[in-house]
Amino acid sequence: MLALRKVEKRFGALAALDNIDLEVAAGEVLGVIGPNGSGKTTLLNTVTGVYPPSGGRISFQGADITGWKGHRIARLGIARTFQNIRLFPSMTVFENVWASQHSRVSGGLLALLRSCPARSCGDTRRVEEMLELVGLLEDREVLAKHLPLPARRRLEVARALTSDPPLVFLDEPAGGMTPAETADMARLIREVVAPNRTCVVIEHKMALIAGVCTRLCVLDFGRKIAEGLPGEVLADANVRQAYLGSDGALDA
Amino acid sequence: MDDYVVTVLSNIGMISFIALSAYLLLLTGEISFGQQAYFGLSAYAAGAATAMYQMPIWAGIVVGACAAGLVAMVVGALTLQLSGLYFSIATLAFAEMARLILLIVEIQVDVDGEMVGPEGANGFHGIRWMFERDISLTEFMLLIYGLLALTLICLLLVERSRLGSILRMLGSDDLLAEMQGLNTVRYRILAVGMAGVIAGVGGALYAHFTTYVEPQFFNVMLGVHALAYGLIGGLGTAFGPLIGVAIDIGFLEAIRFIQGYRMIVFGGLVAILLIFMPRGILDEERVHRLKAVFSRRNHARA
Amino acid sequence: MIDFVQNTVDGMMFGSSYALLAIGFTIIFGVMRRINLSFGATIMLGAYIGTWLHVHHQVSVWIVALTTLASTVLVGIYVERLCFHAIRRSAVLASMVSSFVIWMQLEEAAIHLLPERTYAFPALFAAVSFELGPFLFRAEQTSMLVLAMIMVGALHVLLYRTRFGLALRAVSENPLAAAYMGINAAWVTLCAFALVSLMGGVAGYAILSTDAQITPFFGLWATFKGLIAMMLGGMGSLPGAILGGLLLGVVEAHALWYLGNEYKDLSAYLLLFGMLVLRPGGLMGQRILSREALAFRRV
Repeated sequence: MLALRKVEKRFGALAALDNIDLEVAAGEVLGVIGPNGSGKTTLLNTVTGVYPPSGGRISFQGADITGWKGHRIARLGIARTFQNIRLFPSMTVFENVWASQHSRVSGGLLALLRSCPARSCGDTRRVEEMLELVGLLEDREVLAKHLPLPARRRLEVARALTSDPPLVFLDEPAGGMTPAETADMARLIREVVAPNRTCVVIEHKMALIAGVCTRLCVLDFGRKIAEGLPGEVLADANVRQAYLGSDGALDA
Repeated sequence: MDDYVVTVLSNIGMISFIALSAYLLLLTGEISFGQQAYFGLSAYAAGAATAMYQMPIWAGIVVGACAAGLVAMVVGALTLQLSGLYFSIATLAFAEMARLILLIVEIQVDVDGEMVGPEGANGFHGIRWMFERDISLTEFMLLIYGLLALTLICLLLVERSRLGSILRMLGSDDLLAEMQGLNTVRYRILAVGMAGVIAGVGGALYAHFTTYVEPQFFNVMLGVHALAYGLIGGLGTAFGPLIGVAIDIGFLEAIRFIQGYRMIVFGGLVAILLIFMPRGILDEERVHRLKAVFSRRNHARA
Repeated sequence: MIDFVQNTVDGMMFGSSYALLAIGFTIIFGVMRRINLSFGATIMLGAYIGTWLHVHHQVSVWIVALTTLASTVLVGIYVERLCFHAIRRSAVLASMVSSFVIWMQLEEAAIHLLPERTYAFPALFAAVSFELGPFLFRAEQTSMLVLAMIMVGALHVLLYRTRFGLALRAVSENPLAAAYMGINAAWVTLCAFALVSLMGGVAGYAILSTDAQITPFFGLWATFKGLIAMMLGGMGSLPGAILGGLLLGVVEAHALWYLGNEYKDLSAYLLLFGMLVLRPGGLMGQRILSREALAFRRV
């Protein structure tokens, strides 16, 4: 579904991504793990068009999307969340989720001037369904900045899913959460995000990774050092070395 | 009403256009110190249309507004990669450039044996549409407020529309907006162009109200005032900048003992507001709360 | 050819005063990542207070100089408290707008102090010019260029060789981390602002002495020329401030000579706009300031 061929990203002298080859198969939940600064978020930013890769090619569902602008890639069907949660803080919960509907409204200038958010533009019912699924329907008129952290993460997930993208990237969906909240997020990913679509999860928390991922890929210093089934990868000596020095438990 | 009151009210109306123009850009997250350039360019273009080429006033306003909008879009396209401080300084540089060019431009045509047209530093005299048609100040004031009401209605409609929420998304976080599939470049140029048109309508009216324009009027102080009105009144609704205009011209002008200390009071007021209400009196949060109160009342009634 | 060189020399002479002003802007930007638009008005009010003493109380030139410096520092501290300290660091544009309206305030205060259009400025030294081959130099303008270079040198030493400089750079990079290191960021910023105002006072005094007069337009002039020179050189760069000032002076001098007076200011803004469009980082600043770089910083 998504294929990266020899993708590179350099910032000055620093190679944030170095010759990455990666295939994401339709329907899987791929976990991308690696120490801080290993290039996980850069990988995500390069794929979603925040910045173009310095080299290599990226293709999605057969189309070459290398160097495309972010909005075109988003329209093509790759949605994402952000590591440091990005919402429109002064908009309501409903408006935040509904924001992802813009790309689905067709028509020229006239469609732009339709009164919104109203039934006539975008799929209001779909927005409400998603809010229901992530448990935020009650809070639909609350301003996003007034939500607690776990709810903000769920809101981001709802926003990413509402446009019904075939591929979703989740960037540390359980960042800053307690173990109980992490378990909730894992359940949300398993039951709501994963069915019927492909999903890439970037995460540190092994509790989440082990619970949802069907395959793992490990980055270190911008290179891919391991790839495979979760059990095999986590047992790999190189991975343990990269993550924890020599030994220790991988369940931090 | 005596002429003084009509003139003050007309000035409030015309300044409101440039305040609305600056407000529209504030919504998209950019601070422009240069909206006075579009006001001025349109004043010259509209004046030229009616005084030099005998067009009717509506055509003059259209010509002025379109010219302002087009120039604004070109400037917007040139400054696309700039944001924040850099964008503000670039708009400032452009506006001063435009003003200094108007100081040089001299194009005069013969109209009934009299030379009419921009005359460099001497300004542009003889935009006498109002006198030629014997239109009173009061009637012209009604025209100003009619167009202002129209502009305000359009802006309020835009705010309620998809475009409005897209612009607010752009202002809040343009990367996030891009990731929602929005072509942020296109919307930004559209916003800059719309802001230019709004300032342009005000400028076209101004030229015909005063019958005489000079580049000096379109200096950076006008732009900063326009900007301050939105920041005082609030960025939550298009009524915000109008409240700002009313506070400055209506309220401060009225208090006699402030005369001569106007900028000290105004400057202090804005500086203190920026500390305690950085997005103005009617900011997004208060507007949201007000809306909630109103909708609850409507529900109760129904 | 002789004209061309003489114009370039004249431009550099004028440019040296732009450079002096640009140093103040660039330090404030370097420390706070914000722009202080009231910088020119601050200097102007300081100089007006000095001149007022001279006009109404006939104090000596030395007292005028000292009062000018002291009141510039006080006004600078007022600006810092109101427009920078009280506003969140991240609200870059709010600070800029705030400093703009405070500019208006300071200017009106100065005009209330001395309401006439022009006053003779009590200079410490008289105008002297000297010739070098076929070219004419003005001594006081040449000394301004030297003064600008000395200031940049002193600032460089201060920033990279002293503990205060280290604290200043730490605050500039990351105020929160600096606070964890036990640096009082608010105090360091205030000191930096006072220092910049003092240097602004020195610059203003030198420029006004050269002009031998003071008008209410000085604030606008100083802010715009300093700002343009800083942007041309690159925001936050000390050598950039001098380079930007000289470039601005030279371009203006040539525009004045070859095109006429009305093109002098126009050329300055054209240069600034062109630089922002083509190379937003300025001569010595960051090479790119593209959306990509911005996005990288934010993600």
